[in-house]
Amino acid sequence: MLQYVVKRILLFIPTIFFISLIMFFILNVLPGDATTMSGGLKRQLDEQTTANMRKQLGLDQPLHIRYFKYMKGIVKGDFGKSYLRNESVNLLISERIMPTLQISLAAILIAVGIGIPLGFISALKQGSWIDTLSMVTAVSGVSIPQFWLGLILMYVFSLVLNWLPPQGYGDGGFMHMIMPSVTLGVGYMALIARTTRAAVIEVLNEDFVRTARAKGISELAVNYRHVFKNTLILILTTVGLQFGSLVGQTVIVEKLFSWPGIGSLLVDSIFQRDIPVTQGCVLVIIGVFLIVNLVIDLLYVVIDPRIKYTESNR
Amino acid sequence: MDILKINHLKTQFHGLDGTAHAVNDVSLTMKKGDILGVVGESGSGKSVTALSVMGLIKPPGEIVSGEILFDGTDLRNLSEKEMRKIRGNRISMIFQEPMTSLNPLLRIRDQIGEMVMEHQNLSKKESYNYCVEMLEKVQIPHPEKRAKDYPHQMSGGMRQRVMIAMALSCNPEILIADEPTTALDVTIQAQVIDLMLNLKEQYETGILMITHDLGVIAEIAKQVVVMYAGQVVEKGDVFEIFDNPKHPYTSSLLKSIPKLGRRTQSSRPRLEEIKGVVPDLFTVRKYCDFFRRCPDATDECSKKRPALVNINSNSAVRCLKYEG
Repeated sequence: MLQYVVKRILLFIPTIFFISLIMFFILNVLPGDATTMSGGLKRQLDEQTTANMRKQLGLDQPLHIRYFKYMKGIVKGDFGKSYLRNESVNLLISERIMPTLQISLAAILIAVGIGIPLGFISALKQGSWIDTLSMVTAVSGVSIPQFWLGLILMYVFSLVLNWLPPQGYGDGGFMHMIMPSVTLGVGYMALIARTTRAAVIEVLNEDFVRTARAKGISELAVNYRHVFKNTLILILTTVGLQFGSLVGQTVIVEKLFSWPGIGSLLVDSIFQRDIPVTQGCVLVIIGVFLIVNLVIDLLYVVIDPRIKYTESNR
Repeated sequence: MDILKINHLKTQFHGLDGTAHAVNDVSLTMKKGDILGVVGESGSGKSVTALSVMGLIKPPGEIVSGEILFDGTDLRNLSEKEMRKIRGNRISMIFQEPMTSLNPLLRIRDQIGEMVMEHQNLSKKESYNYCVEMLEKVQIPHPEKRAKDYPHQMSGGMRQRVMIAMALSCNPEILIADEPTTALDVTIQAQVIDLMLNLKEQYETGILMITHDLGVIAEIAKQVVVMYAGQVVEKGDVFEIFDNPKHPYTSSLLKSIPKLGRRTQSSRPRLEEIKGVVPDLFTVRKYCDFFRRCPDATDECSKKRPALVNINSNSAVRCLKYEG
């Protein structure tokens, strides 16, 4: 087991290396660089200044040398220095990661806390109005674009009702978190509800559920001990895989609500061609994704006794 | 005394293609402590009859009419809560597929335990001890160790023993065994049947043995019910049915059993199959359901549906040959 975990963590290294390689070259062949972007749209810096800046940032060196330098830093845990902000990427990210984790976790809580019960009830009451209603909600949840949902929420709860602050981080307080988290969580919740429903319907047809019913135990015990536990693996897999796209979606939501997280930092850095920041953000997001999926793979072992990560059966 | 008496049971499944008459007017009687065999091809309504008794018919299925008298009370009139007290406790069931009939995520002792905790008010610890005791009774080696196992750590035969241990753990009056040996190796089949017989002696449990294996029936049953297309076509004493089958379907079934040593004869006759397939259950026919496959069919058979005719006090047949 421990061996497996160590092996998985070691496998992170080539994954991250490979991604950084692709990303580095793509970002560096994009038209324009930090020097041309730093002037803004109207103002064009003169030739001499840009040349100086390029030299200062090391942009005049060949690509492979820059990549090599960059990787040398990464190995030491140094993501480099922002081209435009005069701050280390490490510091920028460490300031921005908490707000992102805050709304991501809140979104997961919303998604899991509402999605799983909703899907479960739908499956048990298949074909009833509850089922229809919750599945319509789920389909809408998946299809509604976040920027639209966010704007509507802002309009209703801030402008019309004046209940919630429309934008910003405040001091990271609960009220400021509500709208970004909900916007982020709705699609995720809908997806989990649908997955849960499908998984429960599948498990309900299993022979062992019939056996459980034949034992004369309460319907609640049948549903919890026999149905729910057997759907958990499938639900967890969805939760894990979708977590990746959730972090991707923070880009939109954070920008919309001026939420000072990794997502908005990432967007800004792309527009400014602040390549070290872009790369740092992406690598951190990937790291989180890898860790979350490792944790979920390890949870499988806790849930399902048939799954074992030992050398003998691999 | 009749422990189970089913009167004119009709169970249907409603689907988009219409209504399937899975069990169509079935009546049968089982005496306390007896073994009643129910035989028929797949789709003849055997399992649905059993699930109807257990009260486990779920929508789109529905028991339309009839009585299921268990120890004098009609199970159809009981509430779900009252039914739960009978299910697993006084009537229990073993299913066909030992590989999938146990929950893969729970230990054996928890699966047997939850049942005895429900019906016998045992504590968790007592239920574990009881589980070990039951596993010992069904001859599982190292029961203390096996009780902690998960189903995937056991073979099919072992799992079926666990199912039997589970089914008998509350000392039921009726054990419904739905093809308990079908999925097992022949050698294991014999062991499992022996085991069931032994336990039956010990607990005086009546067994409703559902199977398509006439060999099993011949071995253990006292009374036999032959089902076809959701109806009883013949019932009677086991020896009578095997020696002197009245319904053409029963005799065809008997002819289709392979017999050891027959191939060595010079003529090497092929096994006689019953030609054609089981009729679909969606249409209500005006003629005999077995008409198209019957070797003895006459013109009359295509015009009239036969009724179940009593031959004597405990045997009956549904065939026009015996009518009028």
